[in-house]
Amino acid sequence: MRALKKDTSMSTPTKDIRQDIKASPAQLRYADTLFYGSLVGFVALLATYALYVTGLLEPQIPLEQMHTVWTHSAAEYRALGHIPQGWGWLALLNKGDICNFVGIVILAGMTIICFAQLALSLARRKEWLMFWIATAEVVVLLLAASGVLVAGAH
Amino acid sequence: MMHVSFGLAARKGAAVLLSATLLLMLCLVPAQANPAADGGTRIAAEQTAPVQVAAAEQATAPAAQTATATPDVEPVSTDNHPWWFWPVTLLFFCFVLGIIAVMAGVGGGVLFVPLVSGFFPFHLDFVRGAGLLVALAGALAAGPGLLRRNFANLRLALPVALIASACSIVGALLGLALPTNIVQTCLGVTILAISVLLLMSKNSVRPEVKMQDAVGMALGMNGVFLEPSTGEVVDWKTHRTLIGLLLFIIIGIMAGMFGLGAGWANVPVLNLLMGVPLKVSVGTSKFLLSITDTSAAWVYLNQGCVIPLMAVPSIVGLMLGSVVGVRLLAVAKPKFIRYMVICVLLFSGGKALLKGLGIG
Repeated sequence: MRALKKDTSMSTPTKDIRQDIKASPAQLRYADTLFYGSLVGFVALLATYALYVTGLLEPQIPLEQMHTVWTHSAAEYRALGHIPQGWGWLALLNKGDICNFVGIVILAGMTIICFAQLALSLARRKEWLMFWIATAEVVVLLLAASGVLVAGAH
Repeated sequence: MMHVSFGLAARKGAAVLLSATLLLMLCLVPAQANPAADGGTRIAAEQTAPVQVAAAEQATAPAAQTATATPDVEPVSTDNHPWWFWPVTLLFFCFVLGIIAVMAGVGGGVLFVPLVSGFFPFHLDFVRGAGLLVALAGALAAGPGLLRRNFANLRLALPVALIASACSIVGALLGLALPTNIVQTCLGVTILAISVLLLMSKNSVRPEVKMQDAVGMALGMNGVFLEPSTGEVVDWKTHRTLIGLLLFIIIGIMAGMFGLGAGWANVPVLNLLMGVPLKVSVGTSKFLLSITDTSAAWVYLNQGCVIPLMAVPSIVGLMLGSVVGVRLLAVAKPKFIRYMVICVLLFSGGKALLKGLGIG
């Protein structure tokens, strides 16, 4: 039997096969954060959707008029419904349709949180190449989430 | 005997599901072709849109002003369906789609975008936004389990994810900047190419990698996993890593541009090109979608391409369908479903192409 050796990397094969076939602690932490965060996101999504379609929260665009806007491009939809670009929707959180973005943002934000957690873990283990890759990923995702990147309307 | 009857029942069930989908699609075709549902709405709305758009664009400049603005939407449409008709139809459609996608071994996004853009009255921008969220939700649901079982490998995923997610932002920006007919035409061509790829590709369960290349070695792209069916411990490493990483540039751009997810491309590149075992390729690919699609989804979300009324039923329908699909998968023979899906992709790709060219 091979000697037991503590797994110090994400999943690089070590001398201990029993350790190798198991997911590393960093990977397990990532999985746990992703699982619980996604669960919260899904619950928030369903709860806000229920508030929206039952009419408990008044929507920004009335439900009966949705079919007149969803045939248009996103730029026209924003203009017709006064839907702000980027994070401007935060000012409309009391609207039934807009509050659905809370759940969506939690779901889309989970990867950023998981990668930030992973980057810290990699830094503690002094795995610098992987640390920089994980940090670059956080920067890329934050850039995408920031709303700074805007496409020209067609 | 029991097994035979289960298999027969599963095949019968699959045939019923496919018939239901085709019937649903046929029911939706007249609605799409009918000016009352699409063209009429668009023409009528476009006649009123310019003034409203110009006025509204001034209003949308500062976000704070829009908070109190009243929408300029006028109910100019001859679509007489109640507001819940399309969301409910979408929910059932995506439920069936979820079952079929799991049984055919493809992600939801690759079926969702061409079919929904072809048969539902939503603009392609919203279909792509919802397609990314559908793929993202599926990846988030599957990701933790795959990571815990070590079928998704973080060390393999990290460099690939960085390239693909950065490029998916470029793809998303490109897709939103290009005219819709061009994107629709490119989508049609891509879907047709994917159906050919699905038809031709023969994945290798355990590709033989004699020697790991320098890039793969530097990035530590190797690992070990336990094959639960045999109890065997499988060592794996990558080769042709640089070419594989470069291909993820194209995969990322296409994922962001069309909102397709990218499992259809991730698996062949990881498995056939880079030599990663099939189970690790599939697991890592599914996990990768949670990263690649996130970055593109943020761009679509920030540009107002997500309509919750249609996006949420799509996510819920596809996820519920996937759960049922996984149960059916245990007793079904998915080969027939796979060929049916290829046919559906050929059909929907052709429709998207014709629509983009202004013929369909």
